[in-house]
Amino acid sequence: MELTVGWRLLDGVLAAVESAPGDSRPDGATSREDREDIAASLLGDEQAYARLVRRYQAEVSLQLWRYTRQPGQVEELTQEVFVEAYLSLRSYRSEAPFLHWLRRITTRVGYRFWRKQASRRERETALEPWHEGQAHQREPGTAAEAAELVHRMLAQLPPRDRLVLTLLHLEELDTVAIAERLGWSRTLVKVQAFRARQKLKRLLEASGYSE
Amino acid sequence: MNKNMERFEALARRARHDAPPAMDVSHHVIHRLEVLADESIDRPLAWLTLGSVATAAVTGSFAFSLYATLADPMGLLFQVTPLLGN
Repeated sequence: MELTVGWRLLDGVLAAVESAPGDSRPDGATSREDREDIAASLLGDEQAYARLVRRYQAEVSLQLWRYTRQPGQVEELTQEVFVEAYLSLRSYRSEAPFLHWLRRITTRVGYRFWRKQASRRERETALEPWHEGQAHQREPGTAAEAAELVHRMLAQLPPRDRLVLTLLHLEELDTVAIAERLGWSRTLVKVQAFRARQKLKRLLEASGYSE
Repeated sequence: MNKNMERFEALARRARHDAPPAMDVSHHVIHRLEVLADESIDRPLAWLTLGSVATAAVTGSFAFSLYATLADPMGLLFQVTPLLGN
């Protein structure tokens, strides 16, 4: 009897949470408006999908800003993320927040972008090579300068190492979250992170970064 | 921790505050999806058209050769002539 009352109470709380007005927390559970827009998008409502894009494009483009520093490319990749998301929208399960799902797609799109760049041997740094001792000539003052410097440092690494370090240091994910994001085991993430950090350390030493 | 890595992490912490210019890609996304949808409708039609054209070409060439054979009364004679020669 008490258990039934307990379940009813829990149901009531869940219903209240679900029907809370303006429930659009990007990092919480999937909001009601997201669920409605996703359902409408699946039925072919373009405006509903446009609303979803507008709701999350800032987060997606911010994440992609760590993959390229070219605003045009960020815009292009952001579009790619939302096109890919739409094409696999049927596979989305609303147990996880929509943004988490989008972030996984964004990581995949960003990583693919790096791999294409690497395979074409057209790394951005090839245009502006990393000179020895360049790093300690002037300490970057603004966040943009710091981001530019970090971007160029990480661009020296292979895409896989770069990805792990980007997720660790720029997206502030722990190894569990990275494993979940990439579909890797936690051990693999740790090993990859260790190797990537060693490579970065050697690179920084070679460029006379702080000494 | 290595001094270089400490400085790198400090830089990374500052870099996290950097954001890209604001953008609205919703129209482009919808446009790309519309193009994809059109292509997905057009593609089977294109294959169907291609298949029809190929079938028509084969049928046409067969019909033409058949017509040429039947419409030429001397054709049969020339086929028989070698037998008479023997």
